[in-house]
Amino acid sequence: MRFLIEILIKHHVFLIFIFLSFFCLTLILKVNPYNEANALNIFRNIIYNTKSFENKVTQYINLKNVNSNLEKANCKLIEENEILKFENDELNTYKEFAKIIQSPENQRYKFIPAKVENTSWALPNNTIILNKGSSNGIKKNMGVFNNNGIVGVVSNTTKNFCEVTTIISQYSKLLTSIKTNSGFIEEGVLKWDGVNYRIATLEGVGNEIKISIGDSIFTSSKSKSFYNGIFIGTILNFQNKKSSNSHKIDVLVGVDFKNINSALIIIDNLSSEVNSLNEK
Amino acid sequence: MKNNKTLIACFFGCGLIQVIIFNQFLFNNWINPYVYILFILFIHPIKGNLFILMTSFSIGLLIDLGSNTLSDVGPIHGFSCLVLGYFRPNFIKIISSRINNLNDFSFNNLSFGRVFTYILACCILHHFLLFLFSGLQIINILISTLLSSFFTILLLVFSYYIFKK
Repeated sequence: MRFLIEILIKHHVFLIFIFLSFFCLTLILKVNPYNEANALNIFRNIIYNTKSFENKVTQYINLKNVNSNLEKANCKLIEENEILKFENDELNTYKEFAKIIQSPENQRYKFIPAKVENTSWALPNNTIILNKGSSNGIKKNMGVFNNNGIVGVVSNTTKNFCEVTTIISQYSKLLTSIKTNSGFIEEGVLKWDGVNYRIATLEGVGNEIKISIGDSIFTSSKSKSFYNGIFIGTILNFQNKKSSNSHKIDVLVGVDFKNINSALIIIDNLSSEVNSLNEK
Repeated sequence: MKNNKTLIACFFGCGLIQVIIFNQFLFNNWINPYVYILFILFIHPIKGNLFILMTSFSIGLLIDLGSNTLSDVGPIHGFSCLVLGYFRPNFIKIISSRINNLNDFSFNNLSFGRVFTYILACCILHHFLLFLFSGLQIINILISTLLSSFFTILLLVFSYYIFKK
């Protein structure tokens, strides 16, 4: 208490000054309403400004939190987007081959649409990787084709992917039938000489068969992996080979292996039966 | 101004002169010399801070009564004189840094430059506070402060030299 009184005595001039100026200011503000409104405005402005400043500061401090939340949300969205993309791709590939899959003639065969994951066309043995594997029921030696023609034969499977040895591989041999003017002739073996990725060679067609440029080549019913009549390509040109008594035919392959996006895998429901007969 | 008789005479003299003569100037309705702060500026500091504060407040109220501002806009003269009276010792300290004993202090011994800065600072502070509550825009407040200060300083410097002799 004594201390308080000491302070009061020490600063009496200041206290009186504060009291008198407060008195003057209240009078000034009360007497003139314009001044009162002005002062109120100024105080309000100050209050609002401090509030907005406080808001800005808290927002700035929260930015880190907000950022991490946004990142999480973004990750979720990207994940969802990827899932949707995958589903969309599946649907698209299915749509592409819908006619073939749904046709009632092919009750014996089941078709699985697949996306191409990886492709090669400049190697001696070109392979394609598809995004369907043993979990989808894919096995070795199943045939693969798409709307443009034959792609190849499944040579290797993993759980989710399969490797397809394409017809432009030096290991591939494919029995064919030729559609000539006089009808289908089941003859010839399709091979690839490793030069041009669009052109394969057809061997084993005898000189007696009359063929012409532009004739279509289809799969043969004798081939294990395919059924009869899937398009392969067209005859580009041919020569008579006198030594072996057969034609040497260049075939323009229907599938462009540079730009291949999707393919259908053929599952033969009765292949086990056929195989058991063959073994006997 | 040390003795009481001159103080009382100066108090009423300044008030009357301001009310009767200088309040009638009114260039452009607002620009007006306020010479009565002469009284606040030249009280001898030996009288004490409280005395200076109270006398400056009362002369402000006197001018308010005289020039009819008390009923129109409130005691603006009183307020500005109060503030000026409160801060006057600080100004005196600045201009008289070499003098330790206030008894030896005299405005007559100071150089013209120091007195002029003192008058200038006090004048502008007082006039700014005076015009702050007159309901003008901030630019007009500054303009009228500067122009009124010019006239006031002119008159104050003249009167300083008159009373010095």
